Amino acid sequence: MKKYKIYSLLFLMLMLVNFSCTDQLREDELELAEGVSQMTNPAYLLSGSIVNIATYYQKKGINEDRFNAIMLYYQQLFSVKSQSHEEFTKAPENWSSEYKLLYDAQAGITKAEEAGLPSTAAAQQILQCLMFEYLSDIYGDIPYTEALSGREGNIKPVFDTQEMIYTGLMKTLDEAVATLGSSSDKIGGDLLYNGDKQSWIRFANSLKIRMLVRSYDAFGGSKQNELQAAAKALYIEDNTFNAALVYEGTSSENSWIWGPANNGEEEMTRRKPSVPFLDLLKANDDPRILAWIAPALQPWGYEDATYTLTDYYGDSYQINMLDSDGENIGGFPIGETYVGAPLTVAQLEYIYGEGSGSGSYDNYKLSSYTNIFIEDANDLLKATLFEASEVSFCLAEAAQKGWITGIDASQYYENGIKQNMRRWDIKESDISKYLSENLLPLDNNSALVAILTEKWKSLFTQGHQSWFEYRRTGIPAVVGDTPDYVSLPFPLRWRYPTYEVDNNSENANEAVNRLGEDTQTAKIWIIKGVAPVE
Amino acid sequence: MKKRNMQFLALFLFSLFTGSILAQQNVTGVVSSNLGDLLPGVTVLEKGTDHGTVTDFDGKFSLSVSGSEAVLEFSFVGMNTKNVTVGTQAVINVVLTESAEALDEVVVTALGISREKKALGYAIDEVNSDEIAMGGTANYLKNLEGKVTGVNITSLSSDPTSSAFVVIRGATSIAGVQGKNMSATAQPLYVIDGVAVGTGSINTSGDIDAGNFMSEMSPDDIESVTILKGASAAALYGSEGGNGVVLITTKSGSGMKKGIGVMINSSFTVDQAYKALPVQSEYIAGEAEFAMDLFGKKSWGPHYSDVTGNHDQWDMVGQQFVNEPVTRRNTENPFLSFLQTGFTATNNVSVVGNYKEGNFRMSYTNMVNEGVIPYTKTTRNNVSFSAGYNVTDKLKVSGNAQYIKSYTPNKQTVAGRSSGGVKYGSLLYNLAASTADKQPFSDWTTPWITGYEGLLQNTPYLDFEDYLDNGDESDRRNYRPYKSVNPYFVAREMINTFSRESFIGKVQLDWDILENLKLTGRSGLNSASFHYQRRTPWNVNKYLLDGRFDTEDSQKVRINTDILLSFSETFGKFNVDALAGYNFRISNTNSSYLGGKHLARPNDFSIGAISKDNLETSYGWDTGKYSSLYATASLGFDNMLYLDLSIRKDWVGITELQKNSSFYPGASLSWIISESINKPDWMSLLKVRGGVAQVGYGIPTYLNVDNFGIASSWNGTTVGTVYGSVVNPDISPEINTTYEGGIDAKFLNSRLNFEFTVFKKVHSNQIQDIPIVSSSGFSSYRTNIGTVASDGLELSLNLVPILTDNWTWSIGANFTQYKAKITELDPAFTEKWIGYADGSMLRLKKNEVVGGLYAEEGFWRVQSGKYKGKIMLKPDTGTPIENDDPDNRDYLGNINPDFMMGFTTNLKYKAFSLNVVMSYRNGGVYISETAKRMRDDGKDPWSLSGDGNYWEGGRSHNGGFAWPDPNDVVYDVIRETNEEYGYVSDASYWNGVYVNPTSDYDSQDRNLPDDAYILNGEDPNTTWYSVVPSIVGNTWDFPQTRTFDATFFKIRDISLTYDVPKDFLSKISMQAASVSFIARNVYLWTKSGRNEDPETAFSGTGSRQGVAHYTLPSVRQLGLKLNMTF
Repeated sequence: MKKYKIYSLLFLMLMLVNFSCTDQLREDELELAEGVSQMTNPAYLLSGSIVNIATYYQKKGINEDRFNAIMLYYQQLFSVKSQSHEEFTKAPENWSSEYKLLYDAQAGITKAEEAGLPSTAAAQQILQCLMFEYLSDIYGDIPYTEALSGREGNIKPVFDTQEMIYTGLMKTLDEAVATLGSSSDKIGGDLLYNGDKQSWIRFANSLKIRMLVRSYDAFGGSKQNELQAAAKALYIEDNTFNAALVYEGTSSENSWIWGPANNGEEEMTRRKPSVPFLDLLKANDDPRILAWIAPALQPWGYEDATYTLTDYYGDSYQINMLDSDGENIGGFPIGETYVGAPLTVAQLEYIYGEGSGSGSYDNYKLSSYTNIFIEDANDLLKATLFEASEVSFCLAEAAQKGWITGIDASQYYENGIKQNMRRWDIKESDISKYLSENLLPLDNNSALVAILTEKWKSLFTQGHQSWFEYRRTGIPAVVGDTPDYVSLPFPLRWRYPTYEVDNNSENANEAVNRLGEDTQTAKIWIIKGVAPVE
Repeated sequence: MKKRNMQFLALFLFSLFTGSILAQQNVTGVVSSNLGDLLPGVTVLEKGTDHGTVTDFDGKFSLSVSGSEAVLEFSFVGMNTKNVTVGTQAVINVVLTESAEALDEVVVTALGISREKKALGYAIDEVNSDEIAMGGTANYLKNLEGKVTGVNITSLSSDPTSSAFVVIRGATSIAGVQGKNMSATAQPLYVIDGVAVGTGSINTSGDIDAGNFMSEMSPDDIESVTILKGASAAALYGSEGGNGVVLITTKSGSGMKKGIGVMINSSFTVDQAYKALPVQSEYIAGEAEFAMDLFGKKSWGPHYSDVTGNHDQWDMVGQQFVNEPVTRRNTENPFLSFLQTGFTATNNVSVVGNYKEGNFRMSYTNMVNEGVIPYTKTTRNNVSFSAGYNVTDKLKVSGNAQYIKSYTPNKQTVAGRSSGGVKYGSLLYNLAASTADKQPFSDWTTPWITGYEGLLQNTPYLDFEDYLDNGDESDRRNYRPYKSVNPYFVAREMINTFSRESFIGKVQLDWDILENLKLTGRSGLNSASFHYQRRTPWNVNKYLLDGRFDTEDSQKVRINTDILLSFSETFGKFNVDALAGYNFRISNTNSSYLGGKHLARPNDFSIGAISKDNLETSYGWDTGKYSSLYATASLGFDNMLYLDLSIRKDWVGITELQKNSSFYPGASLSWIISESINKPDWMSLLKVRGGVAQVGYGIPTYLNVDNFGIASSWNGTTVGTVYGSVVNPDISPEINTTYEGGIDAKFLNSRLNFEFTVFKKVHSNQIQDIPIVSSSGFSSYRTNIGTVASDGLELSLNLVPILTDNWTWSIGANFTQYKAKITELDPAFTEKWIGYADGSMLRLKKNEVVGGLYAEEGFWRVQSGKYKGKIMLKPDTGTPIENDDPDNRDYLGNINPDFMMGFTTNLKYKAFSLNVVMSYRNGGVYISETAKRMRDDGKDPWSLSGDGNYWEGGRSHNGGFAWPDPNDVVYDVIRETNEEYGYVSDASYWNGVYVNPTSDYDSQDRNLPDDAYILNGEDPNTTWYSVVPSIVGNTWDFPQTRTFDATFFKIRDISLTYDVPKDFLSKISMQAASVSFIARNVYLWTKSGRNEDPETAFSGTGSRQGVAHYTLPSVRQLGLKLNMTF
């Protein structure tokens, strides 16, 4: 009996020990989880890169003041032109979101290569090139060859020269094109082109054309043959090859930036299309004004009047025009329904006065964007990486400048306009009408102005590209026209992020020494000696 | 009690073998203590002979002695030995007095091994059951305050039920330097009856102090708490013991009086807040003197005597808007008038039995606390059972179990301004803000507007006229509940409920295989299941118009099994105590969260009331497995030299990839000098000791590889993510090495005891995630970043100045000092400033003292001339030139004390005993964020007059500069100068200078001739009036202006006990009875002169050690305690 007791107690103790063994399931789960986390399908990583880079790029393209306000697509109601210049005097804190996207693509490349999927790796490389080019165009010299190597222990990468970066990126693009042309593997997770390798080749070549045109002068014209070859290769000729992702609109991540899912209405309503932008759309009777711009809801008129206007897509707007009593409202337009945000503080303040809209963010005296821009999703709202119109305008410029030969610049020019209008669902009849009646002719003296002004319009929603090109070309001049009160010069780059300068000082300082000084007006390699903008 | 009885048992057994001895004279008598206890088991020996006996159960003895010259020696453990010459007496009744301390004191050390204290080579502190149960607090850890050296115990708040941080010999983690909670990173390991149950005794949910089972044990169930401070003591516990170990021994039936006994302990205290920050009541709500706003929360409005006419106000009782004259704000202190008198009632009953075959103890404790914050309450029930059974002479089984159920129907966030990230403000923040202008707080108790329960909060800060008029839902949504919240509403309607069921138990088997070889098997389990929910009703504020509902559930299980083999043998003058063991531990944690905002209906707090889109969920689990082998050996020589050696090896982790092992050695030496010399009579003990030990933090290997996951999908296509941080491939485990040395001495029959310890703790190879530049592809890098070394000394002194039959007076004092410094830092990360809290920064730098705070923005001061030291102002605004130059940051001070002292004193007269515990902290600083908020709101009486340092002026009625008459020419000048900042209300200004703007000098030049500067305030025409309140920077934004000395003195406990005499008790069949008057948190003195307990800055639930932020005012407890033993 005694012994039995001892054994039962010992048994109880063993049970307690065994209790822990019932947790074997947990341990299995942990091992499984660890294993799984090492083995994700490279296709998921490609879809991840596409989604994350495209949505990032689009967000910057429409909503970043340092591209879009400076390029006059809008004025922030609380930061008119002087402030948008001043924005550039401040250095961003970090470039972590950009390098994170670059790293994710890098991880995708590694995984795809390990899995024997060279085409998937090539697609990732193209996306990575786009991001590197974007960062380098903003800052100039950036960490490139040594970047993204924290795993190997390099936590302070050197800054490479922009020339080296451009050269390297274009080489990578060539290699990606070659890989896509020769390998037989399938591209999974391809939200852009559904696995169509030819489309990826077009995307890569278009990116190369953009870079060749942008760096043509910086390379001293030495890349002419390459540009000529690229123009003859496959590129994004029309919108069916656009690198763009239609928003799904079911969560904040997959919805348009200004839609309700992202609480974007406030963001949109405090951004108002600027006077020069509207003037240009109005002057040529551009049908895109009805597609993009909504009328002011309470504009000044000669008498009180109520009427309805409809935009290009059929949304109607109730207008309550207010009687100005015949006064000259601070030089403000009277009787106009498309009213741009002025660039001067004085005027803006005046508009603010009595009768402004409901609340400080909204201002019914000014035009806004059409209602499609406050939707979460719409067939026309796309997270865009590259569009046909941009390549056409690049080639038009190249042809006009004689960098490429064989095709007349006007063909590219007209195609650029056509592709952009089609992208916004403008009716063919309206396109033909615009091309035949309102097109700026490519005469010798103003051909570049015509091409680049149209390009500026077409890059609405792609503000970064617009700014990159303006710095190089100075067209349209209205962008750089600074009112008297704007004391700061037109900004040509962003200052290096403070966190990088503080914590990778040796390498950052080396880059700054090459640049001269880390200011917003220092000229980076790509515009050094060529930029007309001062 | 325990020791005495064990001794008794031994002697009792001995007496059975003692034969009767023929003698010439017979003496009988009774031995009792000075408290009236009859003492059984006292050794009575005729000196110089082997005649002896022991007293029986009733303290009686009978002995034959050799003659009248015989001297009888009465000795008993814990009592002073007494010699009595027999003479002619046939009856000798003796009273023994308690000795200050026994020499051969036995203490519990690592792994639950009892050792003679004199043999230890390291410092150890033990607090016994009487002291633990005395305070009447619900948390036994708080009763250690002031009584132990080297240990800093900080209550999270003055709430009697709050948790407490225990930090042993200071925090040495760089994680603390990096802004994490320094106390939380330095928590010791808790070991209950030999079973390690985990580190830390703090648990928070939604910023609520939700307690932890480790601190929820009933103080009445605890026999002793022993603190192992150094690594030498703790080395056998491996990595978890790196911050020291708190050993808890629970009460059992073993060693008690044979037979059955019943004990009843009851205490009841009345809890009342007695010290709170003052709030000014002279100025009416508003943004400025000319901008009264009776619906606002700021009190920068006009003086009450300047307000005339009728004004719209919300009547809290009539619940309507009225147009009436404004009366002066009630002068009551809003904190004290809001807080109510709470109580804490504890009742414990226990039954013990002790028999030859075994023993048992059963105990039940019930604790109820009604909080000082209205509508808050905490209840707790503890049931414990322990039993031991002697299967054979050589085999003993024992076990114990505790079940703790705590239930808190409602508890409030006291610290901080937000709760769970929701900006509705903490209760006390709202309280300070809610100084009603016309109605006393007693009118505020109705939380809802009648007829709109669950829908409309009753508060003067809301504007819901439209909704009341037409009841249109869109008007409810449109109305802007703003500025503040009725505190009664928060306390009663924003309910935090939680409950925890904990189980702690073990079974143990002791087998004496041979006389000197013993096997022990022990397996302990502790589990806790926690449920939490928070109800946030509709209409809390404009951010949460539709409320929130949050629920959390978690389960923790931990099982610890040890097999130990111990060996003990004496070889001549040498003796060996050796032990080897294997430990296996497994732990599991699950937690889940479910909740969200936008409740479908008012007062519907259920998951179903949250729409699918708003539902937030999370689930987490963690599992761990650890194996260890350990061994220790103590070699003693001639009872005077002891060498202790210990080793431990740990294997950590579950998967092959994680497996990691580390090895830690330890050694200590003690030499009892007094045994090896011919010691003088006045010396009882002199011992020197020294030790060194290493504890490694057995970390699992972190994988330096990418991890991949699935984020979501886009149009049906799966989208992946990449994550994972970079780990230095050569990472090594953290190592904590402690060196300590000390002297223990006892003099004059142990009436003067002295212990002195110096230590050095070197915490090296600290593993941290260091932020790195993102161009590396990552944001952080996990590596060994450096070493923190802490030096300190501990001193304790016990003195018994008076010891007579009737009087005993003892005094204890202890002194603790330590300082931790970063001694090594990976050069890649030197010189880093880290944002801390409330405008302060920490510095990651070699030789930086841990705990040093700097102001993020310093003041720019004149360097020479007559204005030397004056703040420099901007010539165009009159506000300070902020200086964020890293080389010129203002040093605010160190949040750690220069030293801490504790005092205890005990005075006994016959059956009365008076006990007092006090503590003193010297030095260190804290930042008061409360001051910032109260100043910003114009509530701080500070705002009435200039502080004479940073700003001049103050409110006009209190000697400040009156705003000039609008008809005065000066008025226009001032208006013009300050046009841009039309807010200026009081004519107050920064006490500084600015460079004359008409000169060519650089406005930041600090070394100009005197006449280049204009002294602000000298001439109204050149004065910038922009201090209070202003939109361009306020004095209170700078932490420099509200950093205070943290020096304080506290009387923590006073108790007066009356022990009912034994002879009286025996008549009513009772063994013991006592009644005590107890008082806690009796008195607080602060050097800063603020009515703010500096300790509250070191508690809180967040990472903000050293920042006081609306913590509960000091709470005093007064009550009675009753103990009865049958």
